Amino acid sequence: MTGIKLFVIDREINSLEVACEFERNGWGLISMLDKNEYKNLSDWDAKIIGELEDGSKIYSGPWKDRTDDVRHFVIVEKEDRLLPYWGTPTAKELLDPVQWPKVYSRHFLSMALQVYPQW
Amino acid sequence: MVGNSEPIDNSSIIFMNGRKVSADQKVKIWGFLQEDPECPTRCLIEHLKIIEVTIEINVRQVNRYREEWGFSIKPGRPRKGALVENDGHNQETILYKSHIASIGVKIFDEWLEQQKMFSNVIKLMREEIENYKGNQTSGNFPLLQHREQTLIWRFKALLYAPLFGIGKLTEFDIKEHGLETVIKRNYQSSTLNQFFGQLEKVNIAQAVMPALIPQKSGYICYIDGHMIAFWTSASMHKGKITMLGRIMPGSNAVISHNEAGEALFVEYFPPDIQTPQDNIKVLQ
Repeated sequence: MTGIKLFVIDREINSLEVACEFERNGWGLISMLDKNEYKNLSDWDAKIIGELEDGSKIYSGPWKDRTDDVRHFVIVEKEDRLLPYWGTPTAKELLDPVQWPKVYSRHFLSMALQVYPQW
Repeated sequence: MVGNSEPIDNSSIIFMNGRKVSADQKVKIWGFLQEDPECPTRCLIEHLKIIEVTIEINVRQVNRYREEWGFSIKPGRPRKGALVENDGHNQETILYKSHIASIGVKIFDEWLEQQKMFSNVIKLMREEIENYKGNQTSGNFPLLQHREQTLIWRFKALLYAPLFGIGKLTEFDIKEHGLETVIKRNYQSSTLNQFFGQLEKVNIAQAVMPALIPQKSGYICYIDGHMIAFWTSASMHKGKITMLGRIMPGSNAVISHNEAGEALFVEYFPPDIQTPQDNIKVLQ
């Protein structure tokens, strides 16, 4: 009805099944990876693709040793922590991975604007 | 300014510095009690802590002062009504109860009228009815002859039903609701049922949809989940019980909106539903 093909779920879900289901329907899905699913940046075969405005580096790539996972990952390296986003292959086609962190955080801004329009 | 050892004489009461409470603080307590002699001690301490952050005083101590200064009140928990009335320090708070039923829906209705939402919906509805009339040679039913105002009233009755807590149209006959406050008339469920059926017959849903959903649905859909506690006296083994009768998670609300924050879809699911699978059905 709306023609929207790209979805963002704003919680750390780690369901490969959900990702596959979205992919089967031809939809893109972006979400965040659960903290228990990774240890550090070396878990991914990641390369630097850009930088955020605050200087945090953005990496992108698949898992290093999990070949059965269709998801693509974008990892933001903050000073003290990692922010790993995942997306389906369709999400990667629809939106440049370097934009994922911005699009994901825009959600919070749009919600805040609903509550505090004066912002 | 109050010295450390200088007593304060307030008419007949002399305030002395104590081990924990200074004379200055005692004056403030006395002032509170002067303003509202019936104020419960616990409330008094709360107010006192707002202006005197460092004060360490307990209920027993204040009660001793109350007795000493002649401000004792009857022991026991004050009645709920008395608490609101006696809360003299929150004088800006006004407890107002409207005599108009469902005033929230009435205000919402006024707002929708300002947005010209109904005129847009009815315009599309009438166009569709006219198309139907032109295409169909047989069949004549009341919807085809309704005046614009009748369409608005009945559409509003259907639209606001959930806001009155009405889940099924038959509840219009048995439940108390504020429809009359909003549209200045009432409807029997049979009338609305008939209207609803005739709208379906004309296949009005597709026609009015452009007026009901945002003009620009956007490029991205954000999906949020919200869990609401479920209260029951029945025994259940689902979820985490944090309080007697309260089970968490209860119903799962799924809210989706576009990048501008405009709602695209809202649905509530029962606690035992497989939400991810249902999300996919909903998105389809």
